[in-house]
Amino acid sequence: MTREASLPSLLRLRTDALFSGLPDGVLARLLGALDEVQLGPGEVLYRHGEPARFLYLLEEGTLDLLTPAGRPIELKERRCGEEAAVTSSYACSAIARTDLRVLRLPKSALTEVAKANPAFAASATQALLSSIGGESFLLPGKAKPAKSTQVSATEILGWGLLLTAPLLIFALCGARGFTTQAALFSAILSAIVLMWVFSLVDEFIPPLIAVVATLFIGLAPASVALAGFASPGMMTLVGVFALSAAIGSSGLSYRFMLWLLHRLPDRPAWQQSALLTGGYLLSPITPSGNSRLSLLLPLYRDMMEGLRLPKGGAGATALMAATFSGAMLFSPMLSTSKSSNITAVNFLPLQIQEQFLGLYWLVAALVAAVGMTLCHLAAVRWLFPSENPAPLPKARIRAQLELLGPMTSVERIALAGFAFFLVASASVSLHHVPPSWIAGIVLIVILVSGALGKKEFREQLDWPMVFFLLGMDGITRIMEHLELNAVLAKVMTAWFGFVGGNLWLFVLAALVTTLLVRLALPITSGMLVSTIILLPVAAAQGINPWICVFLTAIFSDIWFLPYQSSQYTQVVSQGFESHYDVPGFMKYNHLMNFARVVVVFISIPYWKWLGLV
Amino acid sequence: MKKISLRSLLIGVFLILFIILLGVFNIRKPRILVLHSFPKDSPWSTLINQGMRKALKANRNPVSVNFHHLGVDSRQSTESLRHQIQEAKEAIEREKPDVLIAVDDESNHLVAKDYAGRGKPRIVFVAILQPPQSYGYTTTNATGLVEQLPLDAVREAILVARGGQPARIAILAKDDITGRAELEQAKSYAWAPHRLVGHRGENTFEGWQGFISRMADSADVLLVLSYDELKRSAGTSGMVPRGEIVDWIERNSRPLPLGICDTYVQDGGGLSITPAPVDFGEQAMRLALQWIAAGAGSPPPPVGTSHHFRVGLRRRPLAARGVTMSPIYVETARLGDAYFP
Repeated sequence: MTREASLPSLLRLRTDALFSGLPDGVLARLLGALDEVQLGPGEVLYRHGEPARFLYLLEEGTLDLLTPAGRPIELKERRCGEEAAVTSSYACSAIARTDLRVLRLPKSALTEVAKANPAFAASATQALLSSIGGESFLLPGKAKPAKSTQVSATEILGWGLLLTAPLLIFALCGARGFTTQAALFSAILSAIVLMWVFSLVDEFIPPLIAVVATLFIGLAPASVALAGFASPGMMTLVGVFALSAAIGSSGLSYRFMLWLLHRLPDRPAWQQSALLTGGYLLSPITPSGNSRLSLLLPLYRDMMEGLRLPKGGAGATALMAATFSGAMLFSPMLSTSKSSNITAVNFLPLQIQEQFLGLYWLVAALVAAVGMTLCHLAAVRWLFPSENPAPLPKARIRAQLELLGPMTSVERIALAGFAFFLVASASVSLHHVPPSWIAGIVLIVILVSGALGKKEFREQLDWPMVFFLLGMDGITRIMEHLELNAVLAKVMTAWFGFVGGNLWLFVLAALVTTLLVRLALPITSGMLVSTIILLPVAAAQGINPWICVFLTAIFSDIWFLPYQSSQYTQVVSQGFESHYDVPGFMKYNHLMNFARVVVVFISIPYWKWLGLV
Repeated sequence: MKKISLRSLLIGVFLILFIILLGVFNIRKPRILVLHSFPKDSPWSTLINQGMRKALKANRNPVSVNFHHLGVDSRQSTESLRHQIQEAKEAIEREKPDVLIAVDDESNHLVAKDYAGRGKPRIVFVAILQPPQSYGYTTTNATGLVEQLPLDAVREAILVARGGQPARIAILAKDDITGRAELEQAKSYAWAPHRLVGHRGENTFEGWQGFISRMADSADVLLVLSYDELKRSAGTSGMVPRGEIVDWIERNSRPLPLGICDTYVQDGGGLSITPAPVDFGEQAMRLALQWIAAGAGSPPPPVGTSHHFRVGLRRRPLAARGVTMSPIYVETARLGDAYFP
């Protein structure tokens, strides 16, 4: 006979060693699934070999637990039937010795608990072993400690500023005669910058707040604020992220990494160079740092694992530096390696556009490109000296490769998708299909062929990053819609009289302008706004407009705080932060920031030689 | 009771403040209510709205815009009209607009004029054929656009169509607020060198057919004013489709028909010179936004009129009558998407 469990059953759950460590929310769900069963003496609760459908908690009475051979087991925990949580059938038989009242939990409820709390399945196995062994060694679980409620002074300051500064900025803008829309958006922008600077919420949330607030108050229509979600960029992001997920989850990146380690000389410099060069090679055909990084990160992860680099060590950090720089250093060196370069080229006079659209951009940026690569190599050597690792066991790697066997069909599909994307992106001038639609085809192939299932598509694609990037795109479009770019350009142009046609001073002006703009804006829009501000100054002072575009392209890659770089945010959001030494990496980044300024100044004599100055 | 952590408190305060600020801003945001005389799907309302959307697209100031259609219909009973007027007034009370844009004479006559001089809502009238004063509007309590039928252009087009020969003109209109006002403008216009020989305000198709037959020998040109929602005959309530009216006119009218209603050529007519509803809508919305930007209590911008008009041409019916319009008319119609080869 069964009836619904009464409320005191909660106490029974809380006091049982198997359930006591579960969060209240889970216990509440279990309580809903619990019901009570009563049996008379000699009645069978379950038999050995029967499907394990329930776990039982004894309330009153006793029972006999018998092994298949008939050996009686003394019940230590007043619980039986743990098989329902870990296996499909009962290992023993349970027969009531006296009148028995038990609470039972169905297998479905236990499966749900195990899904949400992976440690529960292990505890249930341990409990089953305890029951059969007749000796209790399951320790009562402790409820997870609540998230730290300590709030740092910096965080309090951040929240305090967030609650006051936007209002003050709105009032100040109003008093200064700004239009309502400019004052409102300035306030919204200040709020999201504060959220980033003080890390008050996850990085991908502030752009969404800005977009929603803008729509809510009618500052821009949905067709503007959400345009990124309907843009080719959306397809590129999802396609490339899916390709990256397929490369990682299929094991292709692991196999490639093993192959690389097997083939390359056993030197960290070679391994790092492989990642750096990989990123450089992707740069001309993949005009997004985020896309390049998402293709390189699986390789980084697998290489770390293959090399058995300790987490947080110099080797792992050097490898991350190579991965990150591989994806980023070439961004300003080619017209097609950064979407804002392509856009900025359109701002140039027609004859200069024609001159720089091809390989000549790289020729003009050659000193900077070589300089940045040398700076990277020097910085890595200086900051992350080789840890003298044990020699790479080539025989083990060969054995690993042999164990992997021939490529699986999923790996082949991922490889074909990658090759197709590379070849098709490199031959756009032949077929005239934009890279976004190529990424779309790759996405379809990966999904239809099953290389990426529904579950992987949901879990392995970095959706917060997709929302972050599209939200940033929305912010840029809202600024353009409100014509704030033009206002900003007008205000700042008035300050550049001191340059007086001197390129050295212009470089400094470009550096300061771009850094200031980049405090609030992401790389792409930061570069474009800086270009809009500086191009009229360059034109008025006889400075080659391409140099102006190049300066904003290279200086916009400078970042000091994580929120300023969507690529670094991507590394963090994918959980790689624990792999390398964060302070060490930041030191490397600051050095590379400095290197960007240095290589520009070194390039000036070269530009004079080329006749650009 | 669980203790609330400081972080939760700060997040809560931020979210509450964020939602309150956005809410308050939205509540205080200027509101515009557009009150149309005719139903939502009428071509005139659609084109007016098209112009309004154009002005709103260029606007960057947050503003809330809603639309209400009075839906005046010549067949409706007094009771039903009273109900619709009441609904429109309730919409105004509910929306509490800062500016009420009342389109056409009907909405001004039946609703908007009752709000003249109240301060809120401020009134922007559009496409009214009657003088603003007739609705109690003054230069201090309302602004807007008066509709002038493009009769100068019509006079010139008649000369072109008739190879420079003056014409005897007959005018046919509906007998409702708009129709009477249009007819009044056309009647009082100085048509020389042409001559006005007859006019009629009539709400039935039967009546229109009779007038056109009577004018067969006494007029050279028939000016067709608004013809939407004509009843078939006095005893019936069904409306005659617009296409059927125009088709009958083109086939049976001996005088050359010339529409002064925007849908005339689209419905099958040969030639039309009409006011430009898109321009009305655009200008009206701009006036409203300009008045809002000037701030509460500011005097209204001056009353204006639209100087634009549209030319519509359909080659086949004109060719059947041996009428050839000069290339400039053809190109103007083509540019306005109103040329049908």
